[in-house]
Amino acid sequence: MTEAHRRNAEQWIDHLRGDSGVRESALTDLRRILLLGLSKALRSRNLDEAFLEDVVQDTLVKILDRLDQFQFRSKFTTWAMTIATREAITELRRLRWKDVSLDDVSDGGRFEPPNPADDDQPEGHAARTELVASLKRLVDGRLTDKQRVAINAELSGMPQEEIARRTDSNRNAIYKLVHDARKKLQTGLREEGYDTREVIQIIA
Amino acid sequence: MPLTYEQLKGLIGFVAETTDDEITCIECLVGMAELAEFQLAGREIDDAVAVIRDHVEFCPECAEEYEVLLGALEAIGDVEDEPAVATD
Ligand SMILES: [Zn+2]
Repeated sequence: MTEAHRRNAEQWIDHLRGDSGVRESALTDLRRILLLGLSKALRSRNLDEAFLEDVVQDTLVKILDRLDQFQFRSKFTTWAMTIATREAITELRRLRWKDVSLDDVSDGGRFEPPNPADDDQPEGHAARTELVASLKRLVDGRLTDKQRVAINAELSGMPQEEIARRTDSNRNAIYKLVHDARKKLQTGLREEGYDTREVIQIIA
Repeated sequence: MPLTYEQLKGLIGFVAETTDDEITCIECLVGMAELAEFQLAGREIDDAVAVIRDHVEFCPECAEEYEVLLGALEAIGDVEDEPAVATD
């Protein structure tokens, strides 16, 4: 296999915007670089070559689409690899969660505190019970249904991208939704007299 | 289904560490390349990149992507150079 031509960032951009021959050659090199990086970084996941080739193909389309967003703050290939990585992991998450519904992981947004019998630490038990009661009041009283569902789904391990897919939303919007929920809970706990650092110790 | 104590701990940790100036995962993606290059070169990071690092440390999804990114960058090594030369 011949090595890729070396290009600096300006040349990558020029070549990818260039005439068909130059462009094809740059695309071939970029494809090879992205495939090499992803296949090694994801080696332990035993993915087949076709999966990675599809991911890289989709990545190239996105890169060509976003060339004007490249800000020359890193090497071009590093930037391209961030897009490839997100593409690959997003696709892996989609496959992993494809048979799981939001209902399966969100319990309809109900906040059910842990079973006290499962609290195996005798020390601080009363403080934990009190904190959990406050938290439940705040979750029930201050969060929206959407926020409760998203939080439960996240606590069950469902990635934000997958929550977004099931709610006609996007990862950014889910991040903001949950951030807003976290802020409300933080404020609520403060109002109930909890120092936010102290709550970590209570639950530790 | 009741939460486990582990989940409760996760929730409380997230709530306690919430700040007003968090960036989103999309904003994180924009700066992730720079963070990776700082880290791989062992350079001290500046304030703008520290914001990206904070997000990566806080957001499990970006953390997973960042780890794969570092692996991929290590695998490709130094593929760029100046000036452009054909190496085949
Ligand atoms: Zn993130």
